[in-house]
Amino acid sequence: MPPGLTALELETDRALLQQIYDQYEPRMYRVALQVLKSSALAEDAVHDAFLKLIKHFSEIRKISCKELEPFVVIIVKRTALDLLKQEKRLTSLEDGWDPPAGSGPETETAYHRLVELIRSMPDTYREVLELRCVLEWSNKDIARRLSLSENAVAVRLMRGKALLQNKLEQEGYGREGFGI
Amino acid sequence: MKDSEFDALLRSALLEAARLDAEALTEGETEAPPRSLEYQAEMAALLRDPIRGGARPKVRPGLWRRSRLFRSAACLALGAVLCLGSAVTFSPSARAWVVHFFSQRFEDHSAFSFQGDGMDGPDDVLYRPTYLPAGYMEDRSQDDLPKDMAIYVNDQEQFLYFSYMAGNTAGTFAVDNEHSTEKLITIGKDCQAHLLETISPDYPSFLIWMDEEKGVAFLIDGYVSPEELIRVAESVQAQ
Repeated sequence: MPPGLTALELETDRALLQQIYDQYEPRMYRVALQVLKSSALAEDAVHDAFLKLIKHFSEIRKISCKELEPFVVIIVKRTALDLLKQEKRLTSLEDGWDPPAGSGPETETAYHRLVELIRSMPDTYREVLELRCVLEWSNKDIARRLSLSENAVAVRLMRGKALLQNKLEQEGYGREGFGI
Repeated sequence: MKDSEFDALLRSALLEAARLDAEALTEGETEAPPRSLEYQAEMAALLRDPIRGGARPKVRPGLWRRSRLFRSAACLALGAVLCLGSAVTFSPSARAWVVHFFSQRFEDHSAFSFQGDGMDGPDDVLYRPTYLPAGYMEDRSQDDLPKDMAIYVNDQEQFLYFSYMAGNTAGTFAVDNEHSTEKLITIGKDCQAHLLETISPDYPSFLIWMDEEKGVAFLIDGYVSPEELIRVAESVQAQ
């Protein structure tokens, strides 16, 4: 649990935790409720999500204000989906992918198309991408969480990225289209 | 674009996708549905005391069904309580221990709860370890009796955390158990302690015990060997 929890002894950290609760708890609860369809389980998901936030508080401090809300949303959504899996109400995840058509590179930036593709991609891949790229979990921790081998996690990560990159290229968005 | 640049962009896009998903999920809702009083109390405890207020015994009927692992853990905790229950018959001191200190193992943390109501132990005694591993110095302390904590740090910025609850108070030590093995050991003359020995260099080991005579529950954790933790624990004295 520490180092995150121990760091929370600092008054500034406690204040930040309170701020996260005041600002984002309502949205976290609604997201959890939408996923779980049960107020009791949604409360559990939010509580567990806050424990995870506390546990990884050293990472929370590094996150910009703008990124904080989606970050906590990802944590609570993943927590809620974990509860669904435990309740065996989420038996399998869709592997097929039929993304909605984009309007093309002439009218849509590559970044916005990437966001839309992520929103429609199979959760099998999105989950590992979120855990690895956003929450910065190691492949080992992801493997343990998802009951997979580390190799399977690495493959999912690679395939997830390749899915997105290939789709963007097929639609005419070159890598240079991101303007980086 | 390099892979590292794409990864950075991907992170930003994943966050934006999550934000948009949350907006879509909650679209049209103006007021959040009411929360249960139990939840509000638990969250208030968590925010008030993130370290000790995090434990949340999940024993409501719906949650009992949640997972086989949780049921097993809960059964183990219950088993421990029942075993201790048989000791109560023969030992008044064990009775006090059972009533005032108990542990629960959850999927990702273990909770060690202290209930000081009605105990005779003083609540104005400051405890500190008189032995520290080489290189550790006191960094800060809370000095908020009867719940108190002190943090010691070495030059590699590794911490050693010491905390206790005493007197007529209550609280819970909630500690990570996903990166450790847990066992009961004996420290000092005849004091039973829970040792959670880390299996990862990124996580500390924990030692939690209750001193029945003093009526105090203690926690020490840090990135040191179990032997060092035990030595620190056995050095704890009233100041």
